[in-house]
Amino acid sequence: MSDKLRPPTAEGFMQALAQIKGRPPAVERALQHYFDGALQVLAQSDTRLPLRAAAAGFAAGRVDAVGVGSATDAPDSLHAQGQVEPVVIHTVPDIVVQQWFAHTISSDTATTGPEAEQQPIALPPTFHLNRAIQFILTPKAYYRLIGPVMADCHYEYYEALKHHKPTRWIAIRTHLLVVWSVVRLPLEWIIRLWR
Amino acid sequence: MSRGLPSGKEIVVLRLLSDAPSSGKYGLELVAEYQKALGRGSVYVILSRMQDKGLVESRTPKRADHPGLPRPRYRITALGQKTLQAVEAAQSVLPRLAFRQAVQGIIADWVQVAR
Repeated sequence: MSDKLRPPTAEGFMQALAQIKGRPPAVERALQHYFDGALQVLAQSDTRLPLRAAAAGFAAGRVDAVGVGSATDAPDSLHAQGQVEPVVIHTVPDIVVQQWFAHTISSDTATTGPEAEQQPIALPPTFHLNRAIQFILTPKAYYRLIGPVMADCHYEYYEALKHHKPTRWIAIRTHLLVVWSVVRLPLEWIIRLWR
Repeated sequence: MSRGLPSGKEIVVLRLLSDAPSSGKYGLELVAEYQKALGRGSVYVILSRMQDKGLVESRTPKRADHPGLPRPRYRITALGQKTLQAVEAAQSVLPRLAFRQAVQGIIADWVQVAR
């Protein structure tokens, strides 16, 4: 993966969000420049929806402002720990961005310190495996048999994230389930030929 | 489109899908309603086979309402509904036929013994 296609860091994305307080042309150009690389990554998969939604919403003028604010009304908020939460105004679904950020911020080093620069934006489970499987399988097999399994797991993963439940087991199960679903395809084919 | 009689699991899936003919159901819902007798991986194999037979159809939204891949929703087709009706009609008739044949067999045996 080239530098341009590398996912932006959590810290970098949050800084970019913090700069946007309206739609002056300079900011818009900066935003466009910032998102150019990211959008190329995002265009390859729907799994990076929140970032894409924010970028596309802003570009289309449907999001008036995207900023980083603090959730003072949330007693258990990250603000209480000296961290920040994103505030997205207008059409980008709050829940989507909150889920995405919840996952990103949950790490101790995600938002502060020099380590934050190295912290990539967290991807859903099987993000890379998905691309490999798409390359291996026929479109029909992928969209009918593997894609839905992955989509269910992503749904469960983000539901768990939303409710602040542990996601590690879901991520492991997702990988196991997807790998088994791929492996069983040729096995079933061989068994059918055998019979 | 290949044709063929639906298997036992396919009939159960058709029954579950016929509960929500217009909105359809997610694969996970089917697994939950089938009380875990249907695996999470195998449900999509069955649904794919049923799609080949034209019994169900799937709709996948372009965007998911959560981050990640969008989940397809499965709906029963008109052919699926007709197939389900035919299967249910056959299932209601067959036990009676089987009983009648069994009774006729016993009577025939008695007749042979009597002779």
